[in-house]
Amino acid sequence: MTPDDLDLVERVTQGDQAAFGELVTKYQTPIYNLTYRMLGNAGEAEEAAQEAFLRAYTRLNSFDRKRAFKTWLFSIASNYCIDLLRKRRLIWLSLDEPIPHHPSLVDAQAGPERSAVQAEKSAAVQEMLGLLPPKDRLMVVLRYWYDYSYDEISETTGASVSAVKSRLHRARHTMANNIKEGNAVALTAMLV
Amino acid sequence: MKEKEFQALAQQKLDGTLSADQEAAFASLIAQNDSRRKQWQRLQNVHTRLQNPPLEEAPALFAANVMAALQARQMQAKLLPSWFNRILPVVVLGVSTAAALPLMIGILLITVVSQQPMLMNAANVLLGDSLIVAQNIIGSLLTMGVAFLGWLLPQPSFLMMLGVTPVLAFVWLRTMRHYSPQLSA
Repeated sequence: MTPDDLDLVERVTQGDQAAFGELVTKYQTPIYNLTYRMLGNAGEAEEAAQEAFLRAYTRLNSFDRKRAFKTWLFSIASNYCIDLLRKRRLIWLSLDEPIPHHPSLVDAQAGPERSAVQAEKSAAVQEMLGLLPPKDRLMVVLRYWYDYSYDEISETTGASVSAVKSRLHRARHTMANNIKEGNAVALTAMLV
Repeated sequence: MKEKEFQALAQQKLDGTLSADQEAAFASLIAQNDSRRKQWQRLQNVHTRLQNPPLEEAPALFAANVMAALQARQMQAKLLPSWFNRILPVVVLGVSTAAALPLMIGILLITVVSQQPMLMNAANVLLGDSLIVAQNIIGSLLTMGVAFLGWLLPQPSFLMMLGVTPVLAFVWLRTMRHYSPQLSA
């Protein structure tokens, strides 16, 4: 844990809510990005990210100070997302079905500074992730978005290092096959 | 080469952790084996495409919204202390049991009385219209009780209860009509 995080956590446990606000500001984008990549929906992602922070706040007393705060926070957010995905598994899309574009991915309100190319890349990446089962998706997100090592992914997800490697390989394999089979037709064009 | 071995090598290759010997072996494998080469190219393609992925920025006012939600929850916790949530199911169960117990005893009594024409006649003589009223009230309460029980249970049980309730009500009315002279008339 960085000294800053430890200091902020200590202040929060002593009742300093402003310190918690600092932690939220610091990690809002990583956590929001994680929930967004997992859920693929801006509205749900925002709610999930908010819930993750609230859960972290209420469980802060049980937080092991030897662990990295960010890893701990990520594990709360990712577990929450997997729970949500489990609940909506009945409407889960199969690999054979095209993944619909969520309006949020092409939302003009996402910010005028975002170029069309970035938006398209984001949509294409999201489409690729949408082809994966939730746990495999989580591995990919932690590996590629946050450059987590296998050990860090293992710590965050609770899976063994060999399971992490295996899931990552399977995820890449699934994505590669889907690109090949044309399930993500627009994907190749978008990413080139 | 088995799939597992290839998987491990490909993973290491992507991570850049292959030794010189392994590197040479891997290069030789994909040069000789057409399907492995294609498989590797596709994996590498995905890996490359996932490099430096775009980060989705948190919405404006996200932190402020989290803090507002936190304060709202703390306020709620003050109004409804944590013990309230723990004790609520116990209270609900206690009240429903307390309500259901006399009801069940009443149902049992009336059912026993209804099964015996002699007892039924005696009850009719003693209670008259009150017996019919009691039967109807108990029948309604039974129906509502079953529906309430269904409401307390998870959704599939609730749906089952919805199906069971009219059947119970029907059986109850049939029994009453059969044994009660007033209703039969």
